[in-house]
Amino acid sequence: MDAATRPALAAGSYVHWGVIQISVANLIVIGVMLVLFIAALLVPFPAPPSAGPMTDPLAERGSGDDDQG
Amino acid sequence: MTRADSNPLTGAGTGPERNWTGRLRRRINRTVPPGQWLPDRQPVYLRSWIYVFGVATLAALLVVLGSGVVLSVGGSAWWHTSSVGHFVNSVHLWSVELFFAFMVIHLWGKFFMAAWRGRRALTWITGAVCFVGSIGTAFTGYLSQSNFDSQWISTQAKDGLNAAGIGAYFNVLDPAKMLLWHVVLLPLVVGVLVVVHLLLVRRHGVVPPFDALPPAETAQLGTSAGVVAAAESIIVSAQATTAEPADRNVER
Repeated sequence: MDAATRPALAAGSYVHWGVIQISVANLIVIGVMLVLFIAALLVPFPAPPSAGPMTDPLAERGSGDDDQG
Repeated sequence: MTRADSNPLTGAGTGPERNWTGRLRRRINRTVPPGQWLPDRQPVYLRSWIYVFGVATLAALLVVLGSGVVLSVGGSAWWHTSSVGHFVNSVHLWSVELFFAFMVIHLWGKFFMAAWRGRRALTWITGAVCFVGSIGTAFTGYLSQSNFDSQWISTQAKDGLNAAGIGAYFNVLDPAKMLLWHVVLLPLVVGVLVVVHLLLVRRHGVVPPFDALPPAETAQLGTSAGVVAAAESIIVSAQATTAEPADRNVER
């Protein structure tokens, strides 16, 4: 019996907490996602090498036409 | 436009064209102004990793679609038995895993930003519906593996859907129907929603931070560093989006 037709023999490990039941694999995935989310908020975003267009459009365009209000 | 106004060689007139292509072009330009489909400058507040997860979701979706096309060419006998088929099958699976992980982090970020502010409710709604549609697409993918796993999942899904009272509307035990839903119907729905979502993002711009103020109010601000930074960010965004819809990047 090859891998494609062999049924899963092990159901994996599960965490039980009241009415909540979740596999350890899924719990790890959710934990990694939370870490990524927090890191995305805290880790500084690298500045572009030229550090130009994102920060300096005012200087490039002049400062008197802020008519978007 | 009269015939006298038109160019006899090209048919183009000097006034606004009344044919369907001219109307469509003007409609497209009204929907998203020229230059905003693929902008090369962004507001300064986008300098945060949290804004990366939207485009990461899109990149993962492209890998999902590409690997899915290859799987459809090879067929189930190929993806179950050959090493290359196993690899492409795994690429399809893991790109879906990344797609959902990135999409959920994107959703968390937008939720805590209250990204529906500034007439962006439809952007939020299309994203949420797209998320639900993606879940359905992924579940029908589980049913399309053509192995014992998909058989087991289909029986569990059948029981769950019957318990929810909606089992009479579609049959998850029909692998042909579920395969067609997975490769045609649901990707089409998700694809259209993604396009509309992106179009709305380009039309209204990325939601600014809570402390960003409209440019008119920034002129009255003091010199507190935080306030100045917020004012600078919104002024930059307004400057970068001149000649766009008035609500773009400016919180109302």
